[in-house]
Amino acid sequence: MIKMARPGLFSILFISTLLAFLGSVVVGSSYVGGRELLTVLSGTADQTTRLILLEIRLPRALLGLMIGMTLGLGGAVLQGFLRNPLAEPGLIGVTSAASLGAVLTIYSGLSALFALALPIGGITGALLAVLLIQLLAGNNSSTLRLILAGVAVTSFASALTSLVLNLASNPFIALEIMFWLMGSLADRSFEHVWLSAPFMLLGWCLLLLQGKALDALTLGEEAAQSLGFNLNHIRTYIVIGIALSVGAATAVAGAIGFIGLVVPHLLRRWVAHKPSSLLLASGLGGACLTLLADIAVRILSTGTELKLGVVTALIGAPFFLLLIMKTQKELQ
Amino acid sequence: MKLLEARGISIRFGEREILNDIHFNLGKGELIGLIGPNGCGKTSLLRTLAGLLPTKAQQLAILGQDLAAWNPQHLAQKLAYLPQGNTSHWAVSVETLVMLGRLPHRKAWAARSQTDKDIVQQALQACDVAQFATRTVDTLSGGERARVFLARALAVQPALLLADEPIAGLDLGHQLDVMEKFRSLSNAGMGIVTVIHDLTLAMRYCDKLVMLGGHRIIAEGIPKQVLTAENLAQCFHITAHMGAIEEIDYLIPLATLKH
Repeated sequence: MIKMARPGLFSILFISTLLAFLGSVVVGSSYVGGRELLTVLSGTADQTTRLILLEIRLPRALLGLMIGMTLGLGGAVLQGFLRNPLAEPGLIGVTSAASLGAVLTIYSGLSALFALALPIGGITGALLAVLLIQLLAGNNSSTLRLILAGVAVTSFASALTSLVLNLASNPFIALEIMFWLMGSLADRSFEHVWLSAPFMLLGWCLLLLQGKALDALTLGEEAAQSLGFNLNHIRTYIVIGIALSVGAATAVAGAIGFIGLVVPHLLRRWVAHKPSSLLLASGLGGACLTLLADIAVRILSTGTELKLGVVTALIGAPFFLLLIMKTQKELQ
Repeated sequence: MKLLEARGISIRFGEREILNDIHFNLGKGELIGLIGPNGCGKTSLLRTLAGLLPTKAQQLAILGQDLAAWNPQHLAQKLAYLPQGNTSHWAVSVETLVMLGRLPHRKAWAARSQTDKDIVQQALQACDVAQFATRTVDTLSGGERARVFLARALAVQPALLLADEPIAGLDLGHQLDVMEKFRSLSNAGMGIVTVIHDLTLAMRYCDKLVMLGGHRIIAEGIPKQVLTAENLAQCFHITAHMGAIEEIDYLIPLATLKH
């Protein structure tokens, strides 16, 4: 088990993600098969097929891929950094702050004026959260303080989101906010992709660079420091990397839970528990799972569309319980 | 050249004074034992000497260079710190864990080289743990674990090693093995500072002992000069019997003194 061929695992994850991506392009309320795909690629497709594939399905699949990657990678990095398998990307308050930013644009009516106000509001919220967290748990402070600052930011942002809902005089706005908070990839355009992609890519780079530091942290903070790693720098890179990528993901799709918690868990044993090997694997696994969940949402939906965030939590939570019970047995 | 030179180090945690005005030197090939009662600041001093706690400018020189002037990665190639507790947060394999000792020698994106692998093999063998290289650390006993973590520190191939209670939890045979290992490493030129509670082993293997107590150094020097009845009473509040068998000194604590 320990000597499991890593290239094998990565090939499996890569191919699964690719298949899930293709599936996400093909599956939906109107059928688009291989032939239609080819006609679009060769430029001979009719207007409707082009529209469905390029304007609706492709951005949705791309966002699923990027957001899943972000959540899987973010979860793996935070679990490694905090050395806690219960950590998830929302832990440092970025998700709820991004949600608050987005909700405010719905409440103020800005999002009705132009569609991109919503993701811009979300990203602004995430960046403000980072500033706040750096202020609360800035240089030379402990990991515990980072978690506490994250909890504080989360509570405060959630309270403000509730306040907005509370004050919403118009029930339609309240409903729109509620639906948005559930997390979804429906009706997203390429503008959402272009707007969020730079933030996510930059975030990924920052996070992927921390592999060796995360390995060193296996031995604890002091030993990692004695191996030449500056923990203050690493924490700053990770907080900013998570804020950029997860903040942008939340800003375009709302809160999608459990992917960042479950995927690193699932894959950890297949990379022999090594934090640096888990990063890319978990990113690919997150992308694959998010795409599959989004396909499931489309297949299961009849009439009212199911929200992706609801489905990931519905499947994720019992699955997580099973996982805990199974590891408990292994320990005994 | 001195491997370590501390001049007037004081350590406080908030209002609480831990150590005051400590002077400390470690030469090439020296094995120094740090002794003293629980909570006297042995670990704090060791952490400070490893550059892990803040010091004032010019207070700590490592290999003749002021701490502030060191690039962290270059320092990590020369100095290995072995903390207490042998913590591993993930169930990685023994080989992976020992390979972590090679991190300071690898460039940011460099994979493990053949040299790294050879050095890890040597470290595994030196600590008598090569036979469970593929096992995961969570399956090891306390003693096996201690030797694996020592191998991790040796894989750094440092010029100086700072070890915090490396023989705590080891059986008698492996305690002797580790101290013999320290002795041969220091004979080969490595400077070693180790926190140690077994005064018989400390006396037998260390070139020098530094006895801490009451925020300061009570005594330092060759073991027999440090472990006097008066110092033992002051430091540990004990009376002890000292003797020798076949030129090996031993110390047996007899009674605690009421104070």
